[in-house]
Amino acid sequence: MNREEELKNKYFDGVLSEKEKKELKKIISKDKKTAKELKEMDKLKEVIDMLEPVDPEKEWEKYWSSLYNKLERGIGWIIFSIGAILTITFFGFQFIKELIRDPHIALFAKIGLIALISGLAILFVSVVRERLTLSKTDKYSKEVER
Amino acid sequence: MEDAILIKKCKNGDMGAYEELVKKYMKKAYNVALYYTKNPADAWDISQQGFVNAWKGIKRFDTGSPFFPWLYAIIKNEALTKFKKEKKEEEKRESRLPLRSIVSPEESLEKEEKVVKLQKALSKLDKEKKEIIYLRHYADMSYKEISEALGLPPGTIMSRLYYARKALQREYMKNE
Repeated sequence: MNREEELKNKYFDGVLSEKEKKELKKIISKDKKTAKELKEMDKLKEVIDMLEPVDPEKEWEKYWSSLYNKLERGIGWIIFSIGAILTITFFGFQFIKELIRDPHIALFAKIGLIALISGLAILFVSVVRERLTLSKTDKYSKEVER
Repeated sequence: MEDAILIKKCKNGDMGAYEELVKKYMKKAYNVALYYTKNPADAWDISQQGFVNAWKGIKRFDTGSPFFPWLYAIIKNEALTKFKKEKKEEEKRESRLPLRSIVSPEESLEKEEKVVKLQKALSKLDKEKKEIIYLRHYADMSYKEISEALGLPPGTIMSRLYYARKALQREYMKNE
């Protein structure tokens, strides 16, 4: 991008300094083509300003309350999950303890049950560890599609 | 209040500060989402999901960086993931830009025609040019914000914008 193009760009944005305005005027005085180009730019700018994006701010209350619910629900889920894990662990432990102590249950069934519980525990720890590792990297700054 | 202060408060779980941040950026966020979804209901959901994800990740956010380019990246990712999932056709998304005319019916027919011509010219631009024009003129993003959001140096943004405007002008003049 050369200096003339930079000046034209700034002209379009309406951010030319006094010094730059003089510089552009000098170019126009020498080149009629540039003067014509700037006039066309003015026309285009005028039409660009005739279009506008949608303004959602009129529905701010609705937007925020719906967003707040989503945020609150996220926090609710975290608390619920912690509660569920603690409760299941406690009662599960009690239940298994009773089963193992029960003399009426066959030994192979007890071994099977212990294997089942141990497998589940390993899977759970593995998933938690994976999630924790992933959360340390900000996926939105690294995986974003430009 | 400055973004850095609001973000610091958000990192401490201050929902009031986040509300202020959302209020400040909702229009931009919504319009960025609308650009990628072309559908007001989807834009509403995607922009909100963007804010939810930003809240979840705010503790990892570098307070010294500008907030909106980061949010932009989250929203763009959300929108692209949604479309990948739903397998919507590229053509549908690349149609007319979600803009409305501010020319009132009382104003001249000539002005309305100009707006139609511009929409037509915009729709003929390639994806890259259309995106940069939308971000600068309609999502009201500064050069710095666009540069951060697209991961390109400000000089490249300025140059791309220049050529995008030139291309738009050419397309617009074709219909003159």
